[in-house]
Amino acid sequence: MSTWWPARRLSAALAVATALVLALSAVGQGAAPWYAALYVAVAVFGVGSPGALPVQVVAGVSMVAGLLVAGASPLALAPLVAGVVATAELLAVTARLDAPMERPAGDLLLRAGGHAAAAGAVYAVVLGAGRLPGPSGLAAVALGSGAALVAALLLVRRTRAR
Amino acid sequence: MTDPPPSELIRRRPDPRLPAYLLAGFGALILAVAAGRAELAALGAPFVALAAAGLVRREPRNIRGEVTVRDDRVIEGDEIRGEVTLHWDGAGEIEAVLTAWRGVVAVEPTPVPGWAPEARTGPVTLPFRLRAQAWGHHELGHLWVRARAPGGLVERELKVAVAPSVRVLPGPLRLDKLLTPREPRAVAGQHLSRLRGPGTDFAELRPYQPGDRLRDVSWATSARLGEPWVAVHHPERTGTVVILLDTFFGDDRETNEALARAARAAWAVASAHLAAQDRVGLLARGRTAAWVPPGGGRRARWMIIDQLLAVGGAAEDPWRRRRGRRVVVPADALVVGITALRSRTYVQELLHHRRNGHATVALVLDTADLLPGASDAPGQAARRLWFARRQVERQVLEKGGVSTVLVPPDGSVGPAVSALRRRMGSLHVAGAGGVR
Repeated sequence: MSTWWPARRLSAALAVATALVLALSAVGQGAAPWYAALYVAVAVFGVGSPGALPVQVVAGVSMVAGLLVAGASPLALAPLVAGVVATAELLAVTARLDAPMERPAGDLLLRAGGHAAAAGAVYAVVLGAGRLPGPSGLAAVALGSGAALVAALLLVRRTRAR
Repeated sequence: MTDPPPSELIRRRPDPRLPAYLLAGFGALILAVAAGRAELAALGAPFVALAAAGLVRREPRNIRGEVTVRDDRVIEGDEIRGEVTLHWDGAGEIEAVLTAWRGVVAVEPTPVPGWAPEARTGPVTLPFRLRAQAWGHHELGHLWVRARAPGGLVERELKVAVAPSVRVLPGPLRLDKLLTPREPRAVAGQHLSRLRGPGTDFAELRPYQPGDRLRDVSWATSARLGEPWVAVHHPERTGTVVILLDTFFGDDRETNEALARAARAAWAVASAHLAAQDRVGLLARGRTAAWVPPGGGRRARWMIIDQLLAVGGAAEDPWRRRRGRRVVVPADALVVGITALRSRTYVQELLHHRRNGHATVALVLDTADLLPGASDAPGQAARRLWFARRQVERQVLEKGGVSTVLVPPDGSVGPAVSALRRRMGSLHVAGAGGVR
């Protein structure tokens, strides 16, 4: 039996709103409206079923990848990447608040926002690193991904040290 | 203070974001390699980074806890206050919940005793309040904990502690009258013996005989008759009472409530007779069995309440069953049946005691208010059948020499006991030819 605490209702509403804004932005940048609507539907489904979360993330990433392949400006898609992560994080918060006890959700919502911002930043940084003069093709991909991983590990280590 | 025992890891499960991020991240990276587009690698990088960050965070370690309650013996309806204490090393997000408790309901926190403390480091103390709902010996369940690192993507579920058990005693029902045992014993108590002797209750007047006490001379009668007459009294003695509790009940709440009423009545009768120095025994017959040989004093009191609680615990826990033992009811015992008359087997048991020569009476609990409401014709017919069957069972008992009295749904045993006393009195008078 689901328990809809006020904090859970808030995070669910934020998740759906984020998915909706993301879909509208994607349509504005050239995504197919039916695909954007499908993304919102998956996000709405994910409110009640955490198992739909991988589908939502994959659908979001596919939508952004489609825009990239179609020739949209990669840097302009950073908010969309952050939006996909924000939706997933908010859906995860909603699932986590489905507990028999009420819990404060302020820290969970803040962390969801932080993860979304970090995702947008990592995307922009890796994208920028790819444009720097240096190796191209597969080597650039490997270097960019490695740098992102190292940055994440350093971030975690600093957090733990605190 | 000793350290709580280590916790038992039940399972480890990933957050739903973990497969999502891994799938999206590595999918985008593979696509980038296949298509030779660096932008796609940039798209996958944040998801791989988030998954990695969620995995490498250090989980809280050495999680342990204990559950304590202030009172382990309470009356039905009382509040049970207690605390959960949790310890762990390192930073962590902890959720704790008490599960599988029986016979109690959560008051604070509600709807279940569960907590998600804001503190990231232990120890934490979490108070709770429960209300004892059903009498019996109840386990308060287990303390379960879900733990993860702050922002971590893997969660552990642990069974941390076993909560203590509580004894919920039946609510008090006061009796101001006692049933009269068949043959009171030669020990001073509160029952009038049919014998004559020192006492306070007047029996008869008879001519003075050598050896009579001067204080027993009735001066008014002696003056009127012109010769000395003495007043003779009944001595007060103790008796033996065996309560035969009907535990033929089902698994539904209604029959459990019927059993709870029976237990309250049994406890009321037992405690009143124990207070009157009687020897009291308890015999439970039905789905669960209990036998406490007749005894007096505090020991008997505790043994009876312990067995009653065990019967109540069995009612709340359908998996708990108890076997009967060999029972020898003393010949002089008054057998008091307490029943809702839901079983023919129990009626035969009562008649068996009567045929064995025991004085036997029955308090029949009126549980008509627990029947489901009947709005349609079949329901009303079933209700009428139920009443008719109960009436037949009562008639069978009465014909077999077992006096029965109906105890109303409000549980007022006092008037029922008074009515039984009157009926037993008339039986005594009818069969008192040999009164000495």
